[in-house]
This record gives sequence, structure tokens and C-alpha cells, in this order.
Amino acid sequence: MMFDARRIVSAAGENVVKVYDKADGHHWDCGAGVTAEEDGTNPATVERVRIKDGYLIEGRRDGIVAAWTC
Amino acid sequence: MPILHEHFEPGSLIKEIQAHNDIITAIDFDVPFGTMVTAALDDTVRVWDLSAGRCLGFLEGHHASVRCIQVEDNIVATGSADASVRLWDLSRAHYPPQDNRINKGSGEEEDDGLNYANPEDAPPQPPPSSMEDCPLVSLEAHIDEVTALHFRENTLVSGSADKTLRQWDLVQGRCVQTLDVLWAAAQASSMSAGVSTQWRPTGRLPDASADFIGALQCFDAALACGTADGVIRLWDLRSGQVHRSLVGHTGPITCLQFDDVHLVTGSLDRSIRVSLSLLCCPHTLVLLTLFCRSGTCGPGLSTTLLRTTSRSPA
Repeated sequence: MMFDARRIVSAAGENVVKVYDKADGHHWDCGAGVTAEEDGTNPATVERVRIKDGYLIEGRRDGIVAAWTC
Repeated sequence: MPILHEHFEPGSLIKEIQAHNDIITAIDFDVPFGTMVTAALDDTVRVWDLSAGRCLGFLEGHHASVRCIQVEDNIVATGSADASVRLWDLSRAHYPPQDNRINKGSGEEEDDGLNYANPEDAPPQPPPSSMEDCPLVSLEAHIDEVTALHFRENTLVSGSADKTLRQWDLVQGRCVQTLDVLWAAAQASSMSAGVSTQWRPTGRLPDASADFIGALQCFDAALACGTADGVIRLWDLRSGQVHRSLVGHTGPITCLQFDDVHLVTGSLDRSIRVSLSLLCCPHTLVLLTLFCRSGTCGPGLSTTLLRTTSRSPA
């Protein structure tokens, strides 16, 4: 889990990062798991997540690290 | 050329790297499109250029996997299951030239910043010597895994499975204080009658996968530390004592961060709690649960958060 000025992001044992927008209270998912069903992929569980200035990095159980806008 | 990420919709993929071939255990980076350091159960620590997506080198020295990483500018701190904390200076690295990029996919533009490494490829191998001048100091005093660390200016605090916190002076490279968590918790409970601040058995078998010290952060003399009993303890590093314990989580604390407004904590109880930060309000309250593993969020939580942020500090 980590937060920056706008969001709180957390890895909660899923293949997506849980994002909470501090300004409007909205919360949403970010990560490879969001489109996994339509893509036919099976991304691994997110283990670690970091965010700075709207730039999110997540690391997974299979060793993949991905950067996202957030 | 770096991407201006403001031009992306939130939630857009910028880059995906097969950084390791085993479970990622720790990540940190300095700035967007800057330098990233990753560690995995394969016992390697890798340094990455985020804008190019290439591995710049390995930080070698730990004898076991690295559990926690902090990157601040060119300084990297790593805490390892080998019970040591190591500091590294990335400004001493000899990065390989840009044209040594490997596995970028022949059909892709080289300069658009969107070229993903093929996930099937093995992680690219930088020259083994690129980081050999980076090690600064090894901090060795813990007798079990280092599970959490945080440094600010010349002070580093590490938390270990040996159930102690250690404060280090980074200029002299030595331990200046050892905080015994169980002892300090007992002291705090004997001083504040009526408030239960002692170690709390949860009535369940301890989760073997949970770290005793799950997360910590320091700011000058203030230290916040979350432990396996679900308690957040706020320490005063000048006295070495716990001056407040925050009870609310029902499972081990796994993550923690505070700024001048909020203290946010996460736990294996599947909740994230947001409190007023210890820096603005000594009577920190655990106020709300944002979401749990099921992804559900109870009603009214965002208003609670807004009320929290708009309340003037006591």
C-alpha cells in the first residue's frame, strides 16, 4: 500500500491494484487483471505496489513488474 | 523520450517488464520514469531505468532475499532476510551505453517509450560489473530477517523478525538505539492504566506468513511501526518509548505510510484504515475502512474521509 497526493493504492491479494481516489471517494481497479477476461490472459497476483506523482508500479508473483498511470 | 503521463487516461499501461523469474518481494522507485530497484525471491536485486525499461545492473552483497527497499535520489537502502541492511549509492554506477539495449523487439519503434520487453524473454543481462562501486555500508546488528525499513536524512530505522527496531546513524554507519518492541509495549501499558497497549494475543494461531514488524516510517523523532498483533505504535525516538498505540486492525499490519495529514495503514484483516496523522493530531483516531479483499466499499466512507481531511488539527 502507498499513497500520493491523490490516490491510495493497495495490493490486496488480487491480480489488480485497488485504487482509492482521495478527492472524490471513488475507488477502482488498475492493472492487468482488469482486461484479463477479454484478453484471455491470466495475470499473476500483485505482491507489491508503489505510487509517486500519479505513476504506479506493481510487482507480481511471476516476477513481472508493470508501470501504470494512476 | 519520456511519456507525459498526464496525457494518459488513469489506469493505462505504460510499460511491462519481466523483471524477475520469481515472486517480487520488494520494489521502490525515485521519480516517474526514473530509477527503479526490484528484489525477488530469486535473491537478486536489480536496478532499472524506467524510461527505457532496461536493467542497469545488480546490487550484489546480500546473502538472502531482500524484503524491503527504499530509494531516495541516488541512495538505496535494502533490508534482507540475511538480517542486514545495506546502503548503496547509484551515482557510482557505470551504466552500460544506451545502445546495449537487449530484447526490445525488432518491429517496434526504439524511441517511443512504449516498446515492451517480450514476457517470454529472459530478463536482460547487464554487465556484471556495472554496480560494483555502489555499496556504501552494511548495517549488521539484527539477528533475524529485516522485514521493514525507512530512512530520512541521516537516520534509518529497521525492523526485524528478532522483534526489535534499530535506529542507525547513517553518517557513522552504526546502530545508535535498539528498541525492544515487546518490552516497550509492556512499559507503555504499565504507565497508562486503563488503556490496553500491551501485546495483544488475537485468540487465533499467529499467521506464520505475517512479519512481526510489518511496516514502519520515521520523521525526525517520530516513528510509526505496525506489528503482527495489529497495533500501530507511535514511538518517540528521543526517549525510546511508545507514546501511543492505535488499536483497530484485527490482523497483522503489512503496510503503513503517513504524511502531515494522514496515517494510512493496511492489514491482513483485509482493510485499509486512514487516520489523522500523528504529525497534526496526537489523538489519532482510526476512522474508516476503505475496502476489503472482496472489493466492496461500505456506504458513507468517502464522506468520512472528507470529514477527516477538513477537520482542523487539534
